[in-house]
Parts: sequence; structure tokens; C-alpha cells
Amino acid sequence: MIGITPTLIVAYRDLQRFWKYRWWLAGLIAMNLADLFIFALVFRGIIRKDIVPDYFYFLAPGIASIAAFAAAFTIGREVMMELRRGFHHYLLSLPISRASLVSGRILGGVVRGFIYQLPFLVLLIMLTGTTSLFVVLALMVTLLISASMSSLSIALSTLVKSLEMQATVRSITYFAIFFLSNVFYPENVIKTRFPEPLYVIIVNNPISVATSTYRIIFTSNVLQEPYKLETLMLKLILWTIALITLGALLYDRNLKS
Amino acid sequence: MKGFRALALIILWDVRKLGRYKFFLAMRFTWFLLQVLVFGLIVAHMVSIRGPYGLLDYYKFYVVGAYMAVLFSISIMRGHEIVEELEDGLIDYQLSLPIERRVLAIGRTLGGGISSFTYSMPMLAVIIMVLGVSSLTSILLLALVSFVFSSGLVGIAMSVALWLRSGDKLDILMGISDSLLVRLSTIFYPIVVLTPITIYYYLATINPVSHATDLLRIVSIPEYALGVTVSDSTIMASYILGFTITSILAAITLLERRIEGGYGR
Repeated sequence: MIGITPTLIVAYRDLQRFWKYRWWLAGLIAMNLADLFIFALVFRGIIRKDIVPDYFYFLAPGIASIAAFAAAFTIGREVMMELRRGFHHYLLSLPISRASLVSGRILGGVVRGFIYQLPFLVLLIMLTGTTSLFVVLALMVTLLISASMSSLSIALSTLVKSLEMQATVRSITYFAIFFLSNVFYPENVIKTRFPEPLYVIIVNNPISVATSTYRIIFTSNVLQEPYKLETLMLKLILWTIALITLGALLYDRNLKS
Repeated sequence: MKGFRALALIILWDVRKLGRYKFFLAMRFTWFLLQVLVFGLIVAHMVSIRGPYGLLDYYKFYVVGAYMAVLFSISIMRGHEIVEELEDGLIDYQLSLPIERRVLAIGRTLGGGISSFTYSMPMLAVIIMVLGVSSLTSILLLALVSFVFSSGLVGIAMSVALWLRSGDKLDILMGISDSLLVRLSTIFYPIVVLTPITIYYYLATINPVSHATDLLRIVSIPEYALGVTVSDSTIMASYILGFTITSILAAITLLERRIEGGYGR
């Protein structure tokens, strides 16, 4: 049975612990901003205009996706450290149900991703001058991508027993999601340069789905891609449900053992 | 003679820690492979850069940059290690040894440089294969430039760590410097591309990372590097040497002066 108050308490605790990483977050913000205002700006001058007319505006929504992804992923590291130090025994001794604990952790990841990404969304709105109601949809995308990535991160952190192996698996997954997505390259290039199965994986990667949705909302005038908003939202919802279920089941299994 | 023995022991102490970081190495290697085999290949198809001698092979250009990015991040990581050692009291122990402070600083810098370069060797082997570098002289030069620059970076990381003496502050400074030094350099793009954004151009010109990356390019892909490097190869080599010597001197100064009299927070 999931209790709302205990879930919120657990999530609030995770949010408070998020500020513990403020120095790391400052570095991450610097990296995301440097990607946008240095990397994207310089690449705008060298990317062929027939492929991407304006690389700066093409990359900006992708940076927003990566921002939510990276922040939501931090929760997995914490779960991993708690299991290492046996801190989960204390969490289990609290007068809250295991279901509330698990859902609270996932909610904590969502809140982290959302809070971290919000300034990037504001920046995106300012850069593109978007004022439509679709901005609300962008916030929904942020919630969904944060939920799916924090759940994936929790799932990976509880997948194997060896802690070093856990860190390696998490990092490799992180890199794979990062590079095998459409953040840096448009759909037509992915289609022509990757074999069909890999193409399908890349365009259906949750980060790609979120990025495509942001692109439709904020920068649809830069490059037309063959995606429909409703299909993308459906895919993202399905990803979120699947990953939340996986994360919750694996975390729960590990808490029991 | 005694000084040399002490130096060798300090270097060996750093090098012996190599085995501890096999998972870290696996992660860096994966990151590098994805950059070279996925990101580089795709982006090379999207990019068009005309140098003074015709179109640039961006993939070959990028592969060298990807190696430098990894070498940079591995070397800079040493700063975190130094802070941990400060917190664990290991630096206190090393200061109590009958070894001159300057020997200790030089030893830690060179030892860190050797370790970082050793970590980067699988990646260096990949770029040698991808670029088809077959001359032994070129391979040895690549290794030498990488080692010298890596030692310089370790010296800087060590100096910053000794100066800040705080893991938190180091995190933010290293995060920002990593973001700026890598992106405001010629790792991803040739210097000619930066000319429209004047401030970026000048910052990239004085950035030692640009000099080291372009020197590696001159050695490994001279046919594509000519006319697009940040400077002449002799000047770039001198710049890197000067950078490394300065960073070692900074580490010596900080270890001799700043660390004395306690450093507890």
C-alpha cells in the first residue's frame, strides 16, 4: 500500500540530499551551458546547412533533455551508496511501507530532474520566444523523462551485487543513452548512417523521444522531422511506465534481500 | 644520487596504484570508443571544413581531439586524489618522509603523469590504428607529447588541489575548467573555425590544450593538420614544455609553502 504522506517525506528527504551535490551540480550546469554557448555556437558554423540549417537551435532542446537525464540519474548513485553502507536497513526500520519507500525514491528522482532542468526550459523559452500552451506539454515531458531516467538509474544500481560493476554498468548505460540518441544528429543522418536495428533503437531511446518532443514544441522551424507529437508522447508514457515498474521491482527485490 | 632514488620511489608509488582503477579505465575506454565509433563518424558526415589546402577530413581530425579529451580528464582526476590524500592524512605522512619537498612534488607530478599516460595507452593505440600511423618515430613522439602534457596537467591539478584543500571547491573548479578548457580549445574544431567569435578564438589560442592537441595532429596526420593548427610545431612544443615546467614549479611552491603549518579545515 502506497501512502501519500510517507512517499512525499521520502521524496523530500531525497530533495534535501540533492543540495549535497551543489558543487557537482554547479560543474554540471557549467558543462551544459558550455555545450550550448560554446560547442553548439561554434558547430553552427561548420555543420552543413543542407543537413541542419541552424545547429545552435537544433542542439538546444537536446541539452535540455540531457540536463534532466543527468540530474535524475543521481538518485541511482545514492541508492547504490546506501546499499553499500547498509543504510537501507535503517530506511526499512521506519514506520512506512516498502511500497511508499520505493515510490518515494522514484518521486525524489523526478523532483531532482525537474528542478534541475527548469532553468534550462526557461532558457529555451527565452531563446526561441515560445509562448504557446505547448510549454505545459514540455513540463510534462520533463516529468516523464525524469521519472523514467531516475527509475532506470535505480534499476541499474540494484541490478548486480558488485558495487564496482554497478558503477560500470550505470556509466556505460549513461554513455550509450547519451551518444546513441538524436541529441546531436538529425533523423535523416541517423537513418542513413546507422544499420536499421540500431536506427530503431536510437530514435526510440527515451532521450531521443523527449528531445524530438522538445524540438516540435520549441524549434520546429529549424528542421522538420517526421514525428507526430501524440506518437512521441505515447512512446514516452510507455517508456516511463515500463522503467518505473522495472526500477520499483528491482529496488524492492534488493530491499528484501 | 639520493635525490634520484627518492624521486624514483615517489614515482613508483604513484605508478603502483594503477591496478586500483580498472573499472574507471573501462568506463573511460567505453566513453572514448563511443566518441570515436559513433559520435565522430556521424558528425564527420555532417561537418564541412575547408582548410588552406582543401577540405579537411574531420573524422581524422576529431579522433585526435577525442584522445586528448580523455587524457585531459584522466590527468585532471589526480586533483581529486590529492584532496582525498590530504583528508586521509597521507600527504602528512609523505611530508614526514626524509625526502625533500621539491623531490616529492616533482615525483608526484611525474608519477601522476606516467599513470595518466598509461591509462590513456589503450586509447592511444586505437587512434594509432584508426589513423594508420606506422612510423615508429611518430608513435614515440605521440607518446612523448602525451606524457609531457599529462604531467603538466597533473601538476596543475595538484597545485589547485593543494591551494583549495577542499573536495567541494575542487569539484566546481574542475567541472568548470573541464567544460571551458576542452570546449575553448581545438579539441573539437580547428582554430580557423573560431575566428568569427573573437573571444573564443583568443582564448583557444592561449589554451595549452589547443597546443597539445594540434601538436599531436601535426605528428599523426600532418597532411590534414597543416595550415589549421594554432601555431608552428616548434612553438607548440615549447609552449607545452613551458606549461609543464611552470605547473611543476607551482606544485613545488605550494607543497613547500602553503602546506606548512597545517591545512585542516
